Amino acid sequence: MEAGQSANDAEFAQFARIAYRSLLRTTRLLTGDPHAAENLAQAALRVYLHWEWASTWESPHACTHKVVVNLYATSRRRRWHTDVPYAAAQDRVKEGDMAHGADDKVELAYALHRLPRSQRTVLVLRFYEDLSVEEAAKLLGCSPGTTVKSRTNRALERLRIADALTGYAEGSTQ
Amino acid sequence: MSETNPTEEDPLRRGMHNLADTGENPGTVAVGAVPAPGQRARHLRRVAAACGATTLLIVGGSVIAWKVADAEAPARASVAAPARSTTTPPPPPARTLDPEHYQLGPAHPRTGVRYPFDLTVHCGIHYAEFGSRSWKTDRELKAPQPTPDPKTGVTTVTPILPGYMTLVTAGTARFQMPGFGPVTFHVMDRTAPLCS
Repeated sequence: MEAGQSANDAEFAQFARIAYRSLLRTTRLLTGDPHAAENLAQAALRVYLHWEWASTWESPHACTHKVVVNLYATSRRRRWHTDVPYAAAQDRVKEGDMAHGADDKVELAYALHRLPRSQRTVLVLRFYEDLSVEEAAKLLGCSPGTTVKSRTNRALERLRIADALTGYAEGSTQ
Repeated sequence: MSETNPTEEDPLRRGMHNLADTGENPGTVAVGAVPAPGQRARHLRRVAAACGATTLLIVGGSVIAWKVADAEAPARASVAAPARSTTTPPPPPARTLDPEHYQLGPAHPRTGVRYPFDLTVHCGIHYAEFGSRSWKTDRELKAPQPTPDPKTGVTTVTPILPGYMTLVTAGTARFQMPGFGPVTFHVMDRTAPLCS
């Protein structure tokens, strides 16, 4: 019993080591705040509580990402949730990688931060996680056509209006 | 509904990857820290389950014990009754009155000992002299009517009932006779009066 438990723990620790960095990137995009992102990623690792059934899951990685998205969707009701002001996010972006242009990052981060959660989530799933419309709809538990596509279009429209992608579009042409 | 513009998707993908890579490295926080809360949660759940089970056992045991005790109460009573009958001294044998030797018990009777005693009843059953003290019933009783001798058919009337007297407590004595009684006497603080 104890040997089986420690083997489970070791297996989970290995999974967490591999998956955590990827989870953290996703949660950074979702929350726009590194601290909230770490909280969310850590909270998603609660899959450990059900790890003994992990062998029956289609993919532990996908399952953990689903937990992240669900936690993020309901995070307004959670104690640890903290939406940071834009100014603080802007400072952190400036502290990061300056190679691609801090202004472009700031513009995109700001625009993403102003999107409704549902639209931001759809954008992250579709254009960062590279999920198809159907996969995103399955993960979110909603309709692919009327929900995922419409949210994507509305979100892109807002980004376009905010001129948040200009720097990256120009960068791609250089 | 319009499809997304591919010219917007690629810049968005680049921008998102760029944003996601921004920030500090996560370090090793996830590896060591996560199992511990999970284990704590598991431990707490086990402790809670153990507490719940213990509480259930105690409550259930109490209820069962109470019900069993309740169910056994009549049985114990029915068992106890014969036990009492076995411990109760058998009814005293009938005595024959010997006019030459009246039995009045010892001067200092012991508690619980049944002594042959001839109770004088020619004034009714109200007073007695036993153990050097006078005794009195709560109320005056009538003496039983004499019956004829089954062999001779002769009825002999005597003012004395041959029976047994037992000192129950220091202040209480009981007279017993087959077919009559028992009669309880209480000690008097003075000498019993003579028959009027």
